[in-house]
Amino acid sequence: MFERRSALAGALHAGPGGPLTIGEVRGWTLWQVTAQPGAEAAMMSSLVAQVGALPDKVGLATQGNGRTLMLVGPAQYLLSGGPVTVSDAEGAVVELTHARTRLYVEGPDAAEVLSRGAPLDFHDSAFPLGAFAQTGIHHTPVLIYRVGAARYEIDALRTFALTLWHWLEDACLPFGFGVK
Amino acid sequence: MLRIPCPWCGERDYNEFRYGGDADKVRPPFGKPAVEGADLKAWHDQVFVFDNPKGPHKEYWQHVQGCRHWLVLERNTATNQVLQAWPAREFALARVKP
Amino acid sequence: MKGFKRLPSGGRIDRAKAISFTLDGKAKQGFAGDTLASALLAGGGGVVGRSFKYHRPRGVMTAGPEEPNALFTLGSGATQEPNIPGTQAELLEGLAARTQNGWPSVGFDVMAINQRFAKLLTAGFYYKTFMGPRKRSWMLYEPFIRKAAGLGEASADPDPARYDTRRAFTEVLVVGSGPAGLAAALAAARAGARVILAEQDSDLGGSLLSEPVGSAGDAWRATAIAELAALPQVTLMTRTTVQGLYDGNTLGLLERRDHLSPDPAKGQARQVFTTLTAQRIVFATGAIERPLVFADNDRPGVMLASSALAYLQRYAVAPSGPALVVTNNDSAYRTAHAFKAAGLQVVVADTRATVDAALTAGLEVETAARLVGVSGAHGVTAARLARADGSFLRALPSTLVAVSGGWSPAVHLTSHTGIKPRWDAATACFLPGGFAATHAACGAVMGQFALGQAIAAGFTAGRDAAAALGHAGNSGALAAPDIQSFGAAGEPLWRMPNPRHRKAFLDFQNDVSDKDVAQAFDEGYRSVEHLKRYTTLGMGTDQGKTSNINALAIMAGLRDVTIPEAGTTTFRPPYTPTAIGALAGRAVGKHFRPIRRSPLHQWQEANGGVFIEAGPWLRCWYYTWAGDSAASAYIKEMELVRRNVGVSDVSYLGKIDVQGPDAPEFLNRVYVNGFAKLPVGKARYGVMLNDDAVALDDGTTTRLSENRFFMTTTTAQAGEVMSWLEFLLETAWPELRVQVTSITDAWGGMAVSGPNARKALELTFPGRDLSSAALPYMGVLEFAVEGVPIRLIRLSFSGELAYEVYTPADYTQDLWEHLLAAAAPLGIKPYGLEALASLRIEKGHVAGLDLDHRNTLDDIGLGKMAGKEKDYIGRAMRFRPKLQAPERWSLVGLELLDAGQKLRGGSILFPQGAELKGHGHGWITSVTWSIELNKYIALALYDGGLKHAGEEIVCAYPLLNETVRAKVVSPHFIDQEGKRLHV
Repeated sequence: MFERRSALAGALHAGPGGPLTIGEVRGWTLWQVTAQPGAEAAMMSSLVAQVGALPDKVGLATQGNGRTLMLVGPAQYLLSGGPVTVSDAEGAVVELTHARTRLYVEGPDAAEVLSRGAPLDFHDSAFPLGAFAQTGIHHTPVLIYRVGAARYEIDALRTFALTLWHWLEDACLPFGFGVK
Repeated sequence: MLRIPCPWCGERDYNEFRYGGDADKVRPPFGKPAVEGADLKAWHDQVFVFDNPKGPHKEYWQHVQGCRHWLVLERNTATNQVLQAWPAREFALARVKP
Repeated sequence: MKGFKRLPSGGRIDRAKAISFTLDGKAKQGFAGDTLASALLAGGGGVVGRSFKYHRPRGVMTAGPEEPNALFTLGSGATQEPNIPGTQAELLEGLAARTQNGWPSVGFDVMAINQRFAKLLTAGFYYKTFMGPRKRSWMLYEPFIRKAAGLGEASADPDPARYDTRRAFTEVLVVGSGPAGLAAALAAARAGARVILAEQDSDLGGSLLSEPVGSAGDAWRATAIAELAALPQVTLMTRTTVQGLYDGNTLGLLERRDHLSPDPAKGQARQVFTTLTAQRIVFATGAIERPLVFADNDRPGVMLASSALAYLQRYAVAPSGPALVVTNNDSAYRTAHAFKAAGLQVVVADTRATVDAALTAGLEVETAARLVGVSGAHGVTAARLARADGSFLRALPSTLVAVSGGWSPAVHLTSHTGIKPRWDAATACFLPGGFAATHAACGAVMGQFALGQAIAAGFTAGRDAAAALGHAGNSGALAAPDIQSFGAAGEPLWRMPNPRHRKAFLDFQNDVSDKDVAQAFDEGYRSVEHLKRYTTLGMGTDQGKTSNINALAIMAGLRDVTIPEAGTTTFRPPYTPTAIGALAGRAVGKHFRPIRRSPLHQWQEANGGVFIEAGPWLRCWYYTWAGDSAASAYIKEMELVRRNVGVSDVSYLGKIDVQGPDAPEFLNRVYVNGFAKLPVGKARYGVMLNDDAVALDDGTTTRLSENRFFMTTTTAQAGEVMSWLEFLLETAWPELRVQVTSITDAWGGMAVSGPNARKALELTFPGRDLSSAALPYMGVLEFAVEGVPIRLIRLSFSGELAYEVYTPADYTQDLWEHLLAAAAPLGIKPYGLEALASLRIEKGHVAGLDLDHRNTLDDIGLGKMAGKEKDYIGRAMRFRPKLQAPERWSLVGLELLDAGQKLRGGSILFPQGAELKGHGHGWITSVTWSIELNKYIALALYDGGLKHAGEEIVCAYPLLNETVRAKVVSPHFIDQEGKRLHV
């Protein structure tokens, strides 16, 4: 009876063709884990036991134990690849898998396309491979993650995903793009 | 374009943030209900009376298109120069300390 | 005789590429590399426009964005764009230009009659003539004045072109690519810095573009550009005006791309607006030459000396007869020598008594000369020179009078953040008044007019900027080209003698003459800011680039103060006019704003859902199974819910996960009613107030476990509530161990409502006990189907037996379809927003329309909900006497008494017999047709509230001049005991 349905179902039509490729990434999971005030150290050691070393810098993702970890705030992590358990006293775990839709843009002008909407410096010196940032595109919050030299993933709020997809198609238009 | 140094995400455009009011003000204490006298006066001042300083001024901002955390920003209202920023929670904890 | 001609050779134009264009419909030709202005001059020049007020004939005066006269309307229909300086419009194939402000043509303009009435049209003319004494004078005259005194007109049609916006960052921005700018960019880039070099012209080089092609100066330029172009850390942006400097070292860059013939269908933008943050800025913005103030100085054929040089060297356009160069400084000798070298006849008139022989060598020069007049209304034919004492010196036939009154450094950007320029007596210029720590300037903008000086200063500025950013690379050295440098040393002369009292213009575009300044002085408008507004000086599209300094020098003279004492007006962005379309970029049409869609949107779209905008959301308004319009459909949908069962999308609700050991305490503080003791597995309706006791939001919060709650908010206030909760936790109560997370997007929801709701869910989830014992009113059940979590909460918005069913968003559509199929035997159907809202009005539930940020808990009739023994947000302010006064408005129901009429939202309420005047005694917030009462009902806020129950009142709707009668009743129109909820 149940199959996961994308917010972009039926919206991904072949593009005009060109050097850029855009599309949706599916089949991933996402949790947010946040320490309760005063329990930061306890929660972090509990996390270390489950996923290994934790990132210590906001803005650079780390990989470990089949998971991608992002520090996004004070003792606050986004975790992709599998859940963790922490006690109520230590922290709060919220699944956000269904709350986001993941788009991607890949190609030589990918960073330029993003700069048409996101107020970030995408230069290698400021946004190297593995960098991520929570920011806004077209008035909606997004998380942009540089997963390749010329590939970026964009986590959009699910309810805004179609609007952002339309935005992305339009932003890519002058460069030429295909949809995969 | 005011650039605001989010303590977590780094310096960002101000339009990733929402403004949240005067951070030089201290909210009246929460607790036992009392509706008259000093309590009402304190809340009246909290809600309706604002300084309009020229020069350094602390204000709340929330990084809504980012980490969503609140911060306290010190800004010079005469020059719009950004002077300093603190995580709002740390700022609040430091303020309640004797 | 035509004033100008194209030389057979030379220039930077591409003679192999002829370009056809039209002017006022007439076919013309130019070459690639021409501007509209240079092409028109090559065709003879003459009158290209009429002045704003007096409709005097005007010609091309400059070669840059400061042009006040040669303004055109380009394109037609939807692409029509007015007031474009011909000096900035690159000549493109098929360009259709129209002259402005002349009817029937600029050559013969009937409005030129205004010149006869010039005495009436002087400074302050509008204020004196049309603002009074009759109060409505301006209203009466304004349309006529606008018609007579307008420049070009914008199109009223949507612009089909595409515009784009982007955000960029750099380490060093160099503004301007003249010799100083090129040197700065080279030094910074060689040191290793990321550099953007922005140039408003179509080509890099600034004043070096006025060196002959192939000359030493030109070679220097080409070498510098080639080196910059080869460096990967350098971005060269031509046709890009840095139009403003804003807070945070952020600048606006407007790039024009018309020369690429951008095709909107291919996404190609005709203009791109870049918001750039630069760590360091080097201003090499150059200087703008000042005209001279003399009798009839606006005649076509009078041109700035540097512009005449640019037309010669860049566009191979020269006067067809003798040229006269009139100057008060050294810079114009560059023009004179170039003219001579090109074999043109040229005489120099210098206002100074002595001039360096190195400058004058080989030239015919009159020193201590004054220019007292020119002949030829449609094109200069002769000029008259006088001595300093006014006595006649000589008359010269001239088809070009090239003037230089000195230079005004382009300090605009440096002062956009509030730093006033300072007067430098040595150069007789306003120079930048200071710099932020991250800013520097070099070249002519700093009064460094000599070529070598500009290059050296630029190089130092660039190297220093890079070094400040930690780039220690070796910048090497940069030698200036070996060419004669003229500088701009001179003696200011602000006005020529004008014995015949002819018009001598300061602001050419706005027709402000020296007499207007004198008049402003006489009438007491003496500060520069008053002068500007009274005379309109500097208020045209050119913003006084050529006029401000002359005008304020004359005012300073009249006031007998120094120029710095007279001061200067404030420079504000944009430097040159910027189209609103460029600022909007792609945020037009479909992309105007983001659209939010429920996880059921696609199903609704495919199954007869009709949508309505509600904030960012597209919400399903009604379904076509029930009717072809909202007005008919919602009645049927209401009937379905009241008599059977319907299902409605409630995914739009704000949903917040509240977790932590202190979560009960936290909720107890933010809601007026108690949440600390809410049992696990139970839901409760709650209301939140702001600090000022105005109702912020209402919703249901469910306790899922000891430390975890599921909060719902109204759709409209979801973002506000979320930020508010975060604010309280981080600023007011940092000690509370609570985390809040928005899960609005994570979960989809549907309300199953109606007497048959339980049956529908039993069919949907067979084998599950949904009896009142297992799931009582305000109870919650959490279970999984095929591993998919289901959250079933028994609560009602409609007043019927109802449930809200939540499931993760990616599964919501499947659950919805399954529910519709499983409960199909009952006749279940979906219902939309209109019915949902109408059902709640019958029940008397308040919603966004009633919670309009003016109403308190007591106003909406829920005062009794509030905890008496606890504190909560807004408590203290709730008890303000005026908010508690019995005559304060509060929620009532209204029933329409006049059959055949309607109640309307927004109607103003009056007691029977009262005069229908003023703000009334209340207003209607929500209206619906009640299918249970068979009449129109409404929720309203009424002074004194239910004290007036049973009274007849008048509902006035002034927009339609309509009044109807209604009766004040309880806002709970149906099932006041709540029996239906508990079945």
